[in-house]
Amino acid sequence: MGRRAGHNQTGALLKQETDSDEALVRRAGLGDKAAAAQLVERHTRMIYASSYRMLGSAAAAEDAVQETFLRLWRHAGKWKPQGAKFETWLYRIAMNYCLDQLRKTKREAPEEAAPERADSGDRQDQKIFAAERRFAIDEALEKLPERQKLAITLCHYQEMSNIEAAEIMDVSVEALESLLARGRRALRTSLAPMREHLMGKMDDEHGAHIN
Amino acid sequence: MNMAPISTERLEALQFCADAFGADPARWPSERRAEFADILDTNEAVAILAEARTLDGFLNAATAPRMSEDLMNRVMANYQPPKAQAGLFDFLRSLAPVMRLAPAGALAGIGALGMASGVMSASAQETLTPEYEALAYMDDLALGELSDDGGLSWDEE
Repeated sequence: MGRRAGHNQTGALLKQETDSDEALVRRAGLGDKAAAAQLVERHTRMIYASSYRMLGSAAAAEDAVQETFLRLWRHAGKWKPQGAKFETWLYRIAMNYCLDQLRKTKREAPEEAAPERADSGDRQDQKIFAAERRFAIDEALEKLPERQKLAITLCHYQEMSNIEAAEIMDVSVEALESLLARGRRALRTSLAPMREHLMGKMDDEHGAHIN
Repeated sequence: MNMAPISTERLEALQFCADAFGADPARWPSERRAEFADILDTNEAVAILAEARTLDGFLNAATAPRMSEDLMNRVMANYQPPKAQAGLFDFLRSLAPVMRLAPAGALAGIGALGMASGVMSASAQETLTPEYEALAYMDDLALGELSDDGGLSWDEE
């Protein structure tokens, strides 16, 4: 029984090793399409969600995903672990792409059309209220300095630890925490004038996020 | 409820923690959870966390990303196995029939092979060089060290 359990454990460890990101990258680099598909399956959602938070549009987030994986395919055959985990490396590529885009292009309005300001009678409408609130919050997030936004994206939305996020951003943990705190304080300040309105029906809907 | 007075420094540290990580101790680094566990039910801490909870609620109400269903397929459509060295091996394989000819032919074949290898190695290196440059660029990119044309220096905000 114990022996069997030990055998199973060894098998599981071997399987885990076989299926590690690093192993998959090596196989993808040799032309293994199934390994490449597994990497895509594992990482696309998080890269998309983070890119969306950074760039504020679905089309731009899709471009970020495509560009990140294009770079991965181009270099998969030569990829070597150099300290950072593969996942960290991949997210760095994606997030640096996003920062690059933010700096190169002036942001356009978010893809979702901004709801027109409703008059007081229409504000009874729950959907309009929720859309208004989302828009106000999206706008406040959008105005954050890019590194503060990235820190909040990784830690709040992607629920990464401070250590993981600091590694992706290539900053110290202390610097990451400072970016987080400054970002959240800035959000609080910019949302303060709308606070009462925003809090009106906060309980009825919380936006889910992809993980 | 903990009635002992809490030092200003501790409250400031808790405020910073809530500012950075929000109101939910489950999302704090474990050492912070341990550090503040004994004061979380004090009035001061409750007030700090209430403020942070409001902001958490705002953040959670932001637009949720919805990924299009075929994005993964489109990503996979761009998958191409690297082929940097395939050309050389293919070329050598194509010379195999030469080796099966008469000895004189084989000798000529070996000569051709030597020359071809030299040429192909050089051309393979040429092919690879830009790739390695791109890789180096990516490393810089990943480290955020490129300046503005790369657009990735980490300016302090």
